[in-house]
Amino acid sequence: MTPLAGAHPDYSHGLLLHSTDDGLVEGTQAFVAEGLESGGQVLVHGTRDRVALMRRALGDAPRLEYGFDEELYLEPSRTLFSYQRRLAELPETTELWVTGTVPLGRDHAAQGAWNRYESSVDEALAAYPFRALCTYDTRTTPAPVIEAVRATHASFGAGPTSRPNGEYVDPAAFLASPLARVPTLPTWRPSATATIDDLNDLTPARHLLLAAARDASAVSSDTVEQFLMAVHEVAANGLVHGAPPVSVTLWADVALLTCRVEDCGPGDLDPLTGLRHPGERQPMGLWVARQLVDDLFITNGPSGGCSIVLTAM
Amino acid sequence: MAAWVRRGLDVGAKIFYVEREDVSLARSLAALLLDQPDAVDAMASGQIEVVPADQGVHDLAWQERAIEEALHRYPSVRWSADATATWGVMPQGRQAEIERATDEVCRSRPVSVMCQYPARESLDRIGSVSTAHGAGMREELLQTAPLEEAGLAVSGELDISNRDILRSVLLAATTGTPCPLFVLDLSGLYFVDIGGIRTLVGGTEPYRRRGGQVRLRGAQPQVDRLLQLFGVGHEPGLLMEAPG
Repeated sequence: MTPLAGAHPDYSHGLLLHSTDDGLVEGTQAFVAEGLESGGQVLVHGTRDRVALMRRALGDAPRLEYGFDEELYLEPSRTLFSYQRRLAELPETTELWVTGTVPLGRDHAAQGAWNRYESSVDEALAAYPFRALCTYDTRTTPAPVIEAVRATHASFGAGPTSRPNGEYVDPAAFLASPLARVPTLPTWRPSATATIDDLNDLTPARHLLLAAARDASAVSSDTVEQFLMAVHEVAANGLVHGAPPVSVTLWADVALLTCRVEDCGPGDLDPLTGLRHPGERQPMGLWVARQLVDDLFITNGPSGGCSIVLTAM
Repeated sequence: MAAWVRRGLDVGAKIFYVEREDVSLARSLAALLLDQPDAVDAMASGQIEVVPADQGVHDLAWQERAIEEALHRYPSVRWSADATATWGVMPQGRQAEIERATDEVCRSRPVSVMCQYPARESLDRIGSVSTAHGAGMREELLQTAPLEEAGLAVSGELDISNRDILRSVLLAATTGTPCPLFVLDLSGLYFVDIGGIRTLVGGTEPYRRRGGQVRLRGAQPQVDRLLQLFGVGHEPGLLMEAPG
């Protein structure tokens, strides 16, 4: 298979589709054995039942750990960046091997976020010696989810014995496809709008948005503060890397905050910006912003300018 | 300023307010307190006394005498002046001398002094100004106050509008501090941006390069989150204290 551009030689993100428990156990056993043999750390995650099943089959070994989805897979963006942090902190030569089933979203929109998670892995984690084998049970997984995972994993299996998947599309193409289920903006009247002409306008704009968010929403105050930190960084980014004026529109619903930040620059921002770990002295605004909110989308409008939508609940 | 005057009235203090004679009506104390009837009364009764800049700020002895006299009639005294009132008529060194003498007065008597500096115009002096003000610095969004141990409490909001001020304050505060430890108490800081964190890191860098350690204490959850994302704990000489 063709490796992803810029990926670490020991990076792979593969798919195991199975229709029996034996198929799952066999595939997982082979993956775990290979991982332990490589000298890497191996993580098997799943629901409590699934972990119990795997532990019976695989036993315990040094460098092999089990993890529960209810702790590791609560929210797609948080899961993605916690893997990234772990990989960034590992010694450079240590491989991390991870296998398990990514949980299903509780509704259409949440499933979309997990679909995008699977795709974003190839952008956010590809720089590391990371091998993932995502297992999906074709008996219980809804067909649209199977369709999405076939589009987000470049290989069947992971490691040297894997084979390429012809249905794979890269993260940028996936994000533009219907499978990504990028949410649409609220159609109701915004709770607040602000126009930011220069850096001096950032502070009053933030205060305006904070008051509006607190007024109209029941989202916790920590969430609101973090959300506005993210909006502040994105708006500052729009002034510095795009062009003024930057217009900010907030929709504060009882349980959901949505904010759109549009600049008047050339509109050439890569929609995947901020997924990779920023290097020394590289801009980190969008990378930070992505981690302060639940979701962040970058689109470049046809009329120029860049539009970033942030959500938090 | 209005809040500081308000607090003074509440505790029955005598309030001296040094004002340039050419101050515009809109920026005068009278305008600031227009919507507070008891403040207007206090101006009429002399509890609030507006002092013309030339008299109030030239003569330290006069200032001390006025405070002494006021303390016979009032339990405490509040004194405020706009530093720009003196810039035209007094050398910088003389002003620094007055600031230091004033700080002494505050330490020995029930006197609270609030000196007003326009942030933009005073940036190059903030360092020396901040060390002469023992009780700390108040900006529109950001306040600093010295701690009992070597260190500074930073509270309010730290962003692009005030990070240059904080950098000067940090540099000045750590310059005179012997190593090894300087504490930054962030428990009252509820907003910071990435540039603000760079300021906390950069403003303490010379101190840390000399071998000092800087400990960040009490960060609120959202501030702590950003400190973690920035990787502040990886900066040499910077320690993040665990919450609680």
